[in-house]
Amino acid sequence: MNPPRDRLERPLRDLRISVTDRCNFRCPYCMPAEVYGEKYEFMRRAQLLRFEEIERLARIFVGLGVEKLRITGGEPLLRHELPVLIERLARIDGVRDLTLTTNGWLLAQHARTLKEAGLHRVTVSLDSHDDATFGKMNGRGFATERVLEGIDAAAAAGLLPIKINCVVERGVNEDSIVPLARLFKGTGHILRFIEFMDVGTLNDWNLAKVVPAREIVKQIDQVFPLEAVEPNYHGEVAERWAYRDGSGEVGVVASVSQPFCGDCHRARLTIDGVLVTCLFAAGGRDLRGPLRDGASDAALREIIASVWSARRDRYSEERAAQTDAEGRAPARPRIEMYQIGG
Amino acid sequence: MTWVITKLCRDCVDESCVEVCPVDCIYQYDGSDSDAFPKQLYIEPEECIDCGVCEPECPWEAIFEDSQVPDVFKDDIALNAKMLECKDDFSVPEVEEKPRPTPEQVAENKAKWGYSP
Repeated sequence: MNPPRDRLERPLRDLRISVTDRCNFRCPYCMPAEVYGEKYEFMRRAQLLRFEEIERLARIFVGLGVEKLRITGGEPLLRHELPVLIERLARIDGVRDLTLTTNGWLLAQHARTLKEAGLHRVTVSLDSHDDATFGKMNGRGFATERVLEGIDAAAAAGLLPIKINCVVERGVNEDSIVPLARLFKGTGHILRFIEFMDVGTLNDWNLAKVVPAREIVKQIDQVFPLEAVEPNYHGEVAERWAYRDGSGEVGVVASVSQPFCGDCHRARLTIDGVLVTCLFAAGGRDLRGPLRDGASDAALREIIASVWSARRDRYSEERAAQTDAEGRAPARPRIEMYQIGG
Repeated sequence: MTWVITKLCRDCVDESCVEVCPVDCIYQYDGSDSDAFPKQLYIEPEECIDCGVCEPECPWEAIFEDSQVPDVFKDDIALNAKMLECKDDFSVPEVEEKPRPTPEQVAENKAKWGYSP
């Protein structure tokens, strides 16, 4: 069987694997505290895919063209014995890039073990340099220091290059853009600003809260002159900008102002084994059921290939066309961000 | 904010929670004053990072976020915190696999402590 292409001729290249729905942060754009109090039922362990199940599915995905695996959550470092999973995934032939997105809180204690297990690199979410703003954006009042220590530990362990992701929300942290750039300029870490997106149904998204990527670039350029850089590869989500003084680069992910659905080669596997073909989907195809019912690799491969072949998702482009005069995105059911890992 | 282990843990100390805690903040009492610290597990409130990973692991449903602890167990918030006064008497236990209780046993244990959710 040839690697499948979807209805828009897009191949399958990336797989994001969510390993827990738990998180110790309560970022309002993902898992707002008022919704996820104690009464909220997170998944029981038996519902989560086991490591051998994740590895088996990952091998099948790699056979269908996936080259890059990213571990997400929730907060993936909360998954018990995560390095054991990393070790299993690192052994798969054909995986060119094995990485993980974390809030950084537990990174200092795990960086070395993760590297030894075979993790290539990490991406750390950090929405502000400023403790007050960061505390508000993580919903727990946590300061930045421990995250910065995590980033240093990851660098020391060789989990390079490190990317730092900052979601920019108008009126909340747009004044953190230049200070964050200053903080990471010259460190070799790649800071990336992401436009605030209507992921899930809980973050009260409105177009007015989006700071467009071109405005972000302009803000930085006024202080630290920038020049555009060619993408590393076709379909890279972040637009790259280098500091003219040669002290590194920053990226912007213009998922709202310049949607890149046409180059989206990404599938997502939820904690409970549902294959999702768009960040903004309402659901997906259950793989755990057939997996636990004894389906063969060939049968699972057939299911995944057929889901991918039928894929038509291009939500971000549709959003651009359908956002109403008040800046509201089209209303429709969606998977929540903490279930799908961004 | 922190999570709290309540009386529902008494004399069971299943330890599934200990196994999954990402920061090893769940302790047993090794001292001799069993009136002050009965046989149960304790969450060190200053080390707990509020992730809640332990909560679904407890077969006795003994773990609650502090703001959600049922009234009959309110004392347990202070009891967990009291371990800070003599932390040297506490250690992180070695995890041993234990048989899971039946739903009837779990309900019986809750009734024993006067908790009706």
